[in-house]
Amino acid sequence: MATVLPGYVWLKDLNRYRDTTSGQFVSSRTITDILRTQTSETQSRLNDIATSYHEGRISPSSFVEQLRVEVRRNAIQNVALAKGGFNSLTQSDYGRIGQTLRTQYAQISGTAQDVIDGKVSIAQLQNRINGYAGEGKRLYYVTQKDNMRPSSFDNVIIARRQLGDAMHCADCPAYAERGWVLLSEIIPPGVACQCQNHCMCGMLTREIPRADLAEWLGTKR
Amino acid sequence: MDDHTAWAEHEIQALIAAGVNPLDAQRTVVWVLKNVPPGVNPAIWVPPANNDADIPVSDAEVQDARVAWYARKPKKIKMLLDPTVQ
Repeated sequence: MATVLPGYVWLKDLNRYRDTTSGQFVSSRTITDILRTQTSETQSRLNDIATSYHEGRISPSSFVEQLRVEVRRNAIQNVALAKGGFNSLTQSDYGRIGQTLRTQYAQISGTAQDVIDGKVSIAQLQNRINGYAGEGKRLYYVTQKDNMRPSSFDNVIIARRQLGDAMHCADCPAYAERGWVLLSEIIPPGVACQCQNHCMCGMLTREIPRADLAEWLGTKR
Repeated sequence: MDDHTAWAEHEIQALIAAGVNPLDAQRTVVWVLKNVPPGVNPAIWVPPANNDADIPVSDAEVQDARVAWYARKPKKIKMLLDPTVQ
């Protein structure tokens, strides 16, 4: 039977997807674009719900539950994107996602109450909402960092912070300034920075021969 | 059980108007009706954070995320998160 949808292969040793139709690797730029689109679409969905709640058109209970559903989907999808698909998710991933959601669910309940108490304007609400969506992106990078392994002992994975197209907090430019570092030393976007889940940065990774490491570390090529 | 039929019908319509798909709108309202404490009006109830002290992420939630991915993503990447693993 002909395949209706284009298929993919996850090459575990290379930490990469390959398009089975073209036979080509899915580029890291494509994955980054998917992640960016995923985040902006989630922001858009959450903002529509939040605006409706702020204007009194939906109840706090529906606002809370619908936001929880959407942030959970966003988190699971982003971790799956980093891990090589839904079937590659482990109990450890479930735990990581659950831990993040525990915090987010509490924040969402708090935000619902803050709207009732008149403590947040629509602009402040949308800012919080964008952070909830951004949390999924942070999860992607943290998962990617924890799961990438070199395909052979002779190789090593390096990573570099890529500043986003945004105003930067005080921390991110310093991380970018470090250039290429060992993957184990990279600070993923959204971690240990003032912009937190609003961080617009990206993270580049590359597998190189261990023998070439000195030529890369600290550079920005 | 309190009769919250009128609220539920209005709420589903309001969620759909806010861009939520009808199945999700219905599921959300059912969740509220199932969890709202007895005697409390679902229209003003704020689900507390401590209801979810232990957030379960199970195969059911992963399947829900998968269905949402297929429903929303363009044809070219619908299968991306269900690859053959090599």
